[in-house]
Amino acid sequence: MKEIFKAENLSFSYGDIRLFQDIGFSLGAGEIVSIAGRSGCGKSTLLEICAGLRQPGAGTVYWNGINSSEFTKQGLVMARQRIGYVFQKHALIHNFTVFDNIALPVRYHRDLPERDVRTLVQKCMEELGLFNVDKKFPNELSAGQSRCAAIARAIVMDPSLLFLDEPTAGVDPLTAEGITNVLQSLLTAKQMAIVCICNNTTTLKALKGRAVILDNKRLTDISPSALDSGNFLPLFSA
Amino acid sequence: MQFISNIGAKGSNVATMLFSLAGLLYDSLAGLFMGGKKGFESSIKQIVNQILFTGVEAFWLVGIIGLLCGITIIIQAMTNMPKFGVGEYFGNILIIVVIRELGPFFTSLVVVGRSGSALATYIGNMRVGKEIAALEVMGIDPVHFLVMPALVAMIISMVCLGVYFDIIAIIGGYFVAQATVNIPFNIFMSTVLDALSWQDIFISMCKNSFFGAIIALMSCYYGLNVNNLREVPQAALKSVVGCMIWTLLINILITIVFYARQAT
Repeated sequence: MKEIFKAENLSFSYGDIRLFQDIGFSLGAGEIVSIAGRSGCGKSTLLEICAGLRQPGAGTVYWNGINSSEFTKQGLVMARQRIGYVFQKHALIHNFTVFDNIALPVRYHRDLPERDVRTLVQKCMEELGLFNVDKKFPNELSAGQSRCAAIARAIVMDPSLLFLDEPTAGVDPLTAEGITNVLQSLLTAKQMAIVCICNNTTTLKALKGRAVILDNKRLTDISPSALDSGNFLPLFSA
Repeated sequence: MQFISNIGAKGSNVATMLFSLAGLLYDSLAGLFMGGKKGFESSIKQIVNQILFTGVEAFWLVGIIGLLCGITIIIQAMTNMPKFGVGEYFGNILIIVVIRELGPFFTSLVVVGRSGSALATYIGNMRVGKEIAALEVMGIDPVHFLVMPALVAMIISMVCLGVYFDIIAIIGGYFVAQATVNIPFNIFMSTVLDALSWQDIFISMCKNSFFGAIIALMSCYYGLNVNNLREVPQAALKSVVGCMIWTLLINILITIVFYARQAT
């Protein structure tokens, strides 16, 4: 299977505080790695490093087999068109409507007529259950709708690699189930590779795939039995 | 020793800022001229919005200040210049004071206070809300998306507001001249236009363009350097202070370059 993403020997410190050391994982098309861990352990920092938003203290990140730090400026722009990222706090452009937010990467990178942009964006919005919100601004949306809009913006360019920072945190169970279903269909139908931070046991179970815990500066696999029982608290160090 | 060290640190900060501003300017111009048709088209909405906010919405304020400025200058000229036997040179005073100096400077003050601080706050909030990181991860250059449109819009707005300020100030001056010495419009205008040269118009536009560029670049620079919510109001404050200082310095520099030679 083609390796879409690989993180090798990553280390990162905030000043004197070491968040993680020599950690790594890889995933191919249609695979998912879910990362759990207690607050402040460095999950979001790890995800930002994986997406090239932050430089690691040590280690290397590969996207489609290419070292992410070796891209030229133009190459990086091209590579990032194949990467989707959903931030913990949605990060929608606050003075753009929901529609314009989702259409932004398409309008910027693709030379499509506006009619095709509209069709593409509407399809994404429908997949995520976003109806009648296209003219609303991000501050007019609920937490769940904002999360769905951010996911729609991340997948509208049909990326091969998707990073999600707690996609179901703070949303109602029905919306969480909808988001999980969308991620499942991205994995199976579009063979997307997904790295997802998730502390919700229900979502972790539903996403299947590999689940790891970032704890004590290391990544530890959560066994399927622990995942099934939903009890992986013993994996956290005291 | 500590004093010298502090001066060195301040100098180093200013040098870093100047390099960053030069980098922002270069990247913005590269985005404007080498971004291609698609790149420019995607920025048009941003440019139009910025012009609406900076230029159109500031019309009334710039108009009022221009009117008051013209009135004040003509009152002073009409009451004091005859004492020195140069009463007929009020047109020159209006041109020298309004078009050469006060027009660009007052316009820049209005734009710094309204749009510069708002731009720094807007970009600072975007940094805190990870919207800038979201742009980066989408492969959208924040400089091309935010700084370039602000730069283009701010220059266009400043030039238009500057011309508007000059016209309103001259009209204000005419009303006072008409009310005090009953001067006919055609004589007033011919006196003013005789004093006005193409060089004055060119230099006034140069100043407005430079001020627009400084306001856009400094506001974006301080906004982009915000790291947390606490720094957002500080960024707005620093951008206002920085823009005022640098517009004054550039104003003096342009005046020296273009007009000091005439004195010698």
